[in-house]
Amino acid sequence: MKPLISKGIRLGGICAVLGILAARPAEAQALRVNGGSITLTMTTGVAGATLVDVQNTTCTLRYRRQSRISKITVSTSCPGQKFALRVLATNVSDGVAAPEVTLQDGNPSIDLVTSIPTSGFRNGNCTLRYTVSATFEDGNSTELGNDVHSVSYTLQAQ
Amino acid sequence: MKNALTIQATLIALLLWSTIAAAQASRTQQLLVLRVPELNSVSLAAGMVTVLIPGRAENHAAPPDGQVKLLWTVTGENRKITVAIDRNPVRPALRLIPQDITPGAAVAQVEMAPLAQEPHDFLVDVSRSAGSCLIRFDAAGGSPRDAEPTMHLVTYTVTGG
Repeated sequence: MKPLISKGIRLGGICAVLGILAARPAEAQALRVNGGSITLTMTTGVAGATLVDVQNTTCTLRYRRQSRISKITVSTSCPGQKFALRVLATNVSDGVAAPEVTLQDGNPSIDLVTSIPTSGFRNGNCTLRYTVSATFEDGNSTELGNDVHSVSYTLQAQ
Repeated sequence: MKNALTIQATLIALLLWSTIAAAQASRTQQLLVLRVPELNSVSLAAGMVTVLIPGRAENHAAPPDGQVKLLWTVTGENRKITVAIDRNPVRPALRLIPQDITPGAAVAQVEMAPLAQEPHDFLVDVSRSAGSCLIRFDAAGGSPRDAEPTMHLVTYTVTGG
C-alpha cells in the first residue's frame, strides 16, 4: 500500500506541476499589446474654435482564442487626468468591435472586443486607434503636466 | 485507504486549480503619455480692410470705419492679445474698437495713436478661451484733409500678462 501512495503522490505532483507550467505561458501569451509605450502630442489649435484631435494607430492587440467565447475589456489609470482619451478596436480579425471607448481614470472596464469565438489555438488581432482631444479650457501640459495613462486590457470569458 | 482517498482528493484539487489557472483572465498593460503644449492661435477673418475717413470730399456719406473679425484660441494662463502697427505716423490717429465679443473676455479699448508702434493691450484676460470679436477702426482725430491713402500692417499677438 505504501509504495502505491508514494507513486500516487509523485504522479499527482508531476501532473500538478505540468498543469501549472502549462497554464503560466498560456496566460502570458494570451493577450499582448504590440507597439510599446507611446506619446501622443496635440499640435494644432484653430483660432476661434477647438483644438484639433490627434489619432494614433501604430499599436495592435494580439489575443488567443479561448475555450469559451470571450471578450476584451479596457480601462485606464491616470490620476489627475485632464485631457480626453478614446480607444477603438479596428480591423478586428476575431470577434466584434465594440463602440469607441472613452477612457476615464477610475472608471470600470468597458468592452472593446466582444464575441471572440472559441476553437483552436488561433490568434486574433486588431488595431488600436487612440484619439486624444482637448479643449482650450483644459489648459496645457506646460503649465499642468502631461497625462500619463496606464491602459489595461483584459481577456476574459464573456 | 483513508490516506489514499485524501491524496486522490488533493490531486483532483491540484488539477482543478491548474485548469482554473489556465482559464483565468489574461491582462496586459500599455503606457500612454498625452501631451498638449501651449497652443495660442489668433487670426483674422479678412486679411485687409479699408478704413474710410470722413471729411474727405469723396467720402462724405461713408461711415468712419472698416470692420474685420478677429478669432483666437488660447490654452495658456494669464494671456492677452496686443496690437501694434508697423510704422508711424498714422494720420489721422486710428482707434480699434472691439465689438460683439464672445462672453468671458474682458476688454480694454485701445487708441492707436501716432507713434504707437509699441504693442498696446487690446483684449485682456483671454486665458484658456476661444472666441471672436469684430474690430471697428475709427478715426480718433486729426485733420482728414491731411490724410493721404496709406497702407499699414497691424499685428495681433497673444502674449503673457
